Amino acid sequence: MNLSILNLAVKSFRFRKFSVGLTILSLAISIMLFLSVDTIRVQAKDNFVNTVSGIDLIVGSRSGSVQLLLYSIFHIGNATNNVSWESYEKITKHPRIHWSIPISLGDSHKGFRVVGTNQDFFQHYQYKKNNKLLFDTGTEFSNLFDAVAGSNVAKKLNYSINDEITLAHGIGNVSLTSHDNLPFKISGILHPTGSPIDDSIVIDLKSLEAIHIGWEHGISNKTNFSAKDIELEDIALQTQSITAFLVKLKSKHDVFNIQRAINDYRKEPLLAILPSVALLELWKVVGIIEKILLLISGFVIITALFSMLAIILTNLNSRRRELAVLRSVGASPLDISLLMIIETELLIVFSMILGIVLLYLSIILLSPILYSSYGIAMVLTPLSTFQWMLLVCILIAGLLISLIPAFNAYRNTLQDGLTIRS
Amino acid sequence: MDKPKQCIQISQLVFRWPGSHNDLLSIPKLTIEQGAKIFIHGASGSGKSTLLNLLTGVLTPTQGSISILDQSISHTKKAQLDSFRANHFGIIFQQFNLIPYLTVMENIMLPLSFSKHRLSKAQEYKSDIHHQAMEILESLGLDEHNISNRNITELSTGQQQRIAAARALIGAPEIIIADEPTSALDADAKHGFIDLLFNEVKKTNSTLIFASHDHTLATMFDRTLPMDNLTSAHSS
Ligand SMILES: Nc1ncnc2c1ncn2[C@@H]1O[C@H](COP(=O)(O)OP(=O)(O)OP(=O)(O)O)[C@@H](O)[C@H]1O
Ligand SMILES: [Mg+2]
Repeated sequence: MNLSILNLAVKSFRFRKFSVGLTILSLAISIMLFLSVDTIRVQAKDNFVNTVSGIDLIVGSRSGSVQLLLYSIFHIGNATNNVSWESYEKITKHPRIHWSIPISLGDSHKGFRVVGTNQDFFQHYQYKKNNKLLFDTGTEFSNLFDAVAGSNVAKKLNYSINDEITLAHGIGNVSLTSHDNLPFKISGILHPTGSPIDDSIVIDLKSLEAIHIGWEHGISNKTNFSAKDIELEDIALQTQSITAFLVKLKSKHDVFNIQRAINDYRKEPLLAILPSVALLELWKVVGIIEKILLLISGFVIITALFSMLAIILTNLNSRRRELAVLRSVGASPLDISLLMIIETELLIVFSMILGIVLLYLSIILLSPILYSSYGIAMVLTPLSTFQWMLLVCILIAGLLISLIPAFNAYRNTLQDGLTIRS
Repeated sequence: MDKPKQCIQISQLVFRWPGSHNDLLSIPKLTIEQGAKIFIHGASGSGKSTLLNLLTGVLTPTQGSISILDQSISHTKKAQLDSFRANHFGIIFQQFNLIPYLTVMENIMLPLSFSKHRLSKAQEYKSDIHHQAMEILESLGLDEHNISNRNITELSTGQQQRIAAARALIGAPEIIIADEPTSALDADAKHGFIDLLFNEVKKTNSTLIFASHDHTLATMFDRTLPMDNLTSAHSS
């Protein structure tokens, strides 16, 4: 019995292709909108929270934890103070510390940040759930004036291996004070990471020290140094201070002890933060927008459901005759109600399927744009539990909504009996 | 299968629409034998459709009782009445009998998907029910090959009414109810349609209840029930 009702519903859809198609399309688009807002939201959060992974602590001079996170990882803003190399060495000698990555910021190249670090960076730095840095071409720096370019830098500035670049003192596109007496040679180009590394140029800490010879007071007091001079004069290139450092512990259990120890470090006011905690904290600030977007797309779905109801009810009036005929061949009022429920649910199921297809299409089409303009790497993932729950909610809402035409149809067939009203 | 001799028995029936001040129908006693061809005649608004709705159990009598095939339908639950109707009634309307989104064949087969009883009865008669449907169409004067692949909306009213008749006849229900099935047809087509309907009804010994305001048709039937005699105004 139900099978034949389902059959009827499908055939009546085929008969009313155009209006049914439009109804499905509008509901599908609203479902797609909601799902894609949610997908982008989740993946953006994922991208964000995993900007840096595989480390236990970020250490910098004492400031706010969000500020430390912003300048050390996202290269936004500046550190107010540095961490002395002495402290860095002393702290990282701690037996519970597995490895560490020093980071020194402050210079730039055509608007891109320069990150001074050492070989440990390439060995240990991880992004997006334990992905190691990979080279698209070339290798890490081996000579004093080697530089590694992030993928975006290379792409935007059209750099390839062995290109020469000069760094600027300070941050910004137009810099009056530059280090153009000491050009660097690109030794490698990194694979895209979807993290701020893509927009960075990575050089050796020693090189950073070298180009700052004579810059102790922020302005150059010696001119026309060349790479040769430095090598010839054999100036000791000892790093004096760094901006921050990343720490990996031997055991996660020590994280709070070490954090406290660093925060209580006597010789220098330092701050150690847990990156995951700080990232989540920062996301909460950013994340209000995503909640608003989600809410709006939720309302879009509700609107689409209501307009679907309006269309069904309008159709119902012109279908009174059809329903009386069905009744005359043996369909009970309940069968006819069931027909309405099945038709509504079919509309919703078709809309959902189309909505999901549109979602994946939009991810495929949008992800290059999202990636290139926001660094958000979208991946095709199966629907999340939340998204399935939403779909189930829409199904249930559809069921409740379909009770209205079902009740109307039931009442009409009882009232009309076998009489056909025109 | 034993056919009951009496098909329809009505006693002390009174029907009044809720909110109305007068009884619309008042039938002290009425018996219709199985296989009879009954013409219900009355002007528009006289209550023909109402009576048919009472017979099919769609409406419940205000007073009195109706028995169909020895079952008292005034004491049967609504849901059971629905399946009772599907099993034992074939119904033809004045017009717009066909579901536009179904094919001619699907329209004819419709009662069989709502009534197992009629399906098995049809299969008993001939296991290939498609063939059977085509046979009925043919005996109703339709070239089934020409018809079955045509769009319902392209068919003439006469063709549509004959398809509706085929649908009412398939599975040989005991009672065929026809509510002004010919009023949209011209005079020749009217008589042709009724003749064909009679032929088919005879084959299965079905009772035919045919309502119309057109008194010229009365002579074709076994018996005429004028609505004037069945309304309360007359009997009171
Ligand atoms: N659902 C209803 N509620 C109240 N009164 C009704 C209803 N349906 C019909 N009536 C009334 O019952 C009376 C009989 O109507 P009915 O439809 O049975 O007449 P009919 O003989 O079939 O007429 P027609 O030849 O025009 O089809 C009419 O006066 C009509 O107004
Ligand atoms: Mg009528």
